[in-house]
Amino acid sequence: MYYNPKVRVTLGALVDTIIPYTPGLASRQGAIQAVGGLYSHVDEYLIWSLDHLFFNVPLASPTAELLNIASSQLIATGAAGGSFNPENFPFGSTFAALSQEDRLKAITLLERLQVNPGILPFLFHNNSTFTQIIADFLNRLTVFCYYSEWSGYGATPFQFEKRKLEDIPISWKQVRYPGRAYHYHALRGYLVDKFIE
Amino acid sequence: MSYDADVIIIGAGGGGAVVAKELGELGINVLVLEAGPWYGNKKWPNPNSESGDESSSDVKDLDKRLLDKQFTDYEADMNDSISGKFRWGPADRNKSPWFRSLAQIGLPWQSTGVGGTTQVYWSNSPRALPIAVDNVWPISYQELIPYYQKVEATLPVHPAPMTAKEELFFYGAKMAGYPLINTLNVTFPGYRPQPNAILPPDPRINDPHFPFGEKLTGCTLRGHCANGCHIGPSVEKVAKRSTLVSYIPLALKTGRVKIMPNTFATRIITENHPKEGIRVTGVQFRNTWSGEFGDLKSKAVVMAAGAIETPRLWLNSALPLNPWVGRGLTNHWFDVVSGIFDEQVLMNILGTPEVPPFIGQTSAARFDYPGLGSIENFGLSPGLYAMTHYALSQHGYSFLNQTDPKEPWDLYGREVGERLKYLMSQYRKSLSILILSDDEVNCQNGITLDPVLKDEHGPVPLIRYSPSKKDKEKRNQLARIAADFLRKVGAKNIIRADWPPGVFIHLHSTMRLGYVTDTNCEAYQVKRLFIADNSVLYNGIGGPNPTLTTQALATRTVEKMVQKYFS
Ligand SMILES: Cc1cc2nc3c(=O)[nH]c(=O)nc-3n(C[C@H](O)[C@H](O)[C@H](O)COP(=O)(O)OP(=O)(O)OC[C@H]3O[C@@H](n4cnc5c(N)ncnc54)[C@H](O)[C@@H]3O)c2cc1C
Repeated sequence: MYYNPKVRVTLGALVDTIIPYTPGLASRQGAIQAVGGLYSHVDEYLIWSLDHLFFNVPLASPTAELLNIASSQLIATGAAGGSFNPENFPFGSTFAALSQEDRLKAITLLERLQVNPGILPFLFHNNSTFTQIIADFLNRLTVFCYYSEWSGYGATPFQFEKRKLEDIPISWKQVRYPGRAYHYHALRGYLVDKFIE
Repeated sequence: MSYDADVIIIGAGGGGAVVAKELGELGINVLVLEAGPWYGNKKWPNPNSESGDESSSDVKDLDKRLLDKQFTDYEADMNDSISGKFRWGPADRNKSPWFRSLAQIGLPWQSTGVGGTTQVYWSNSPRALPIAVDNVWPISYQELIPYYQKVEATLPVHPAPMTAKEELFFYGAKMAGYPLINTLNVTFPGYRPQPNAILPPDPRINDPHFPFGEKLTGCTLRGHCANGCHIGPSVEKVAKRSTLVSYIPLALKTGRVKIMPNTFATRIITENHPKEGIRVTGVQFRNTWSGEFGDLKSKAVVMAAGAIETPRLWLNSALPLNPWVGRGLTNHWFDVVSGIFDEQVLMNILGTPEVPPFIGQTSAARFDYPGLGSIENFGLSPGLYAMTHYALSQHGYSFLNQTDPKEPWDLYGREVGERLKYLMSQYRKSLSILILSDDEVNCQNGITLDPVLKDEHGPVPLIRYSPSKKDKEKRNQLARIAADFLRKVGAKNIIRADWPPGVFIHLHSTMRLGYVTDTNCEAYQVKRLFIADNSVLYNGIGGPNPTLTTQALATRTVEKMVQKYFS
């Protein structure tokens, strides 16, 4: 999916923070645990969702901007702990230049309304509730998408009436979810056979 | 004057479908307008991509094979809040969902379509707690009992079967010192199986050679309640008794009920009658595919559009002012507390090393505490699981916050990164508990019209909810009880999500009986206009899941309405 690279890199960095590549976990619990959200293209899902959430007014770009403004503020106030190279912001994304922990701190600034709402982009401008709602939404959607079947739809995941589940999502393997089932031989009886009045 | 029907019902969800069946059985001609699609009906073979027919009134139109195809069991396909089949939006998934304004972070979780939000609901069908009704509501608990009984027999409701996750939950409740209760009328704290509107599994289900097949009736414990159940030999015998498969087929069988999906009611039409005063005469609607508007006339109208849209429709129709329209919203301010177990601990208690959340009815065990609220176990597919346990919190990222060492949870707030992935890797060894607080009615909470934002159906609803100090205490107490259950059975980690108050899964009391309507659920200010969804509940019924009570009240409302206008 083509999209403005700055937006893509910014939201990609978000996905990579919430569901990162985790070789450490893999070394303890098996190779499958390394894979993260970018491998499953959760960033594309996030962009699509942001662009279709609100009356067909695209929100992916202003949301990326929101994250970048919060990141600049984090840096400006000296609160960014991790190292970053100010010369080298990927496609100009401040958010993507931060460490994973600092990215979460930047989002927290937005959630706690510690970024001046007057400098935020269209729709978020002086609208702190909407800013908080979208910050919450980003986490929720990323996590839901990654652990759902979405990444298994192959090349056309947004053609809802045509798509077919082609692959087993990696996340299902990571959590050992067997997918859709028709029955389980799992009855353990009844604690009460009949309720009384 | 010629009428399009005796009664028009707005909304074919938890309440509206009950009204349709009950009226039809009394020989009243009914037209149901439903904003969303109709799954499992031959007249809409491709309900999300083609407009299909205008209406259906024949039970023979119901088609189980279509339902099998449309209810895919996949959680993003069914439950994605933007593009899922069970979203709040028009049938055409290429269009955006219908926007709701929120005054806070959160998520209104409602579904359009025939069956309404019962398509996704878990079928938990407890009665109200008597202490939340007696001497509180303008009608008594005793008065509700015959209607409860009728709905319980019709759905029908049964004690839920146990699988591993229920056994673990019950063991925790027992170890924490609470009794098992086997009553429908709960007056003291205790645990019991959920009264679920789910057809019981075949007793031979554990036989490895048992021939599961298309002809089988009953739940197969496959854990897809939330993603749309389609298990059963025919639409009307599907195991989970959403109104799509219970009351709607019964309504069609009366031969008196016609249902129009993809039809959004945009205005209640009234007249000033010399004798009756302001009274309803019909409904204006918009077809969600063609965008065309039309008017329909009837002798009475029942609003059953849910606790958000019913007040929105009242306000958008400029019906008489009533300070309680839209006000008094309760939502059981939910929370999630979960535990992770070592295999050995599970082996000792259950004889198996795992307690998979995806096996069994989604929620089959409960605990009620009159005065505080309810607690229930639940198990979800992994996307919904991760979202509800680790991504929904008012507390921010857990690693940026200290956990209070005096509290019984080890983790508190939102989880991300490696820790999230680790926690999810323990999915099959986790037990989830949902907290439903008995929150109080407050007239500041509720639905108003957004002063700026409009969609094709008028100003959108603005939802506002802020719990009281007492609500907060009750919820904390329930969360501690849940954590105690988990600790008592040896959970290795206990995690509290701390959901924001703006998560709306149960929504009630925005058009309260006694304030907006009389005790027959007829609007005080508009004659022949009745309300029969969660909005008319007087309060949050003490914490139990609300739908059965709405359905019982709707059954009663039909009786009163027919006595007054149709006998
Ligand atoms: C995940 C989940 C699990 C749940 N589990 C349980 C449970 O186990 N037990 C329980 O008791 N409750 C449960 N609930 C809540 C339950 O779904 C609701 O209590 C119930 O559906 C409410 O019925 P209702 O008639 O008020 O609204 P709904 O069922 O939402 O029905 C309203 C209907 O009206 C239609 N409509 C709205 N506006 C218009 C309009 N203007 N014109 C035409 N049609 C319109 C809607 O499309 C919808 O079909 C659950 C909810 C969720 C989200």
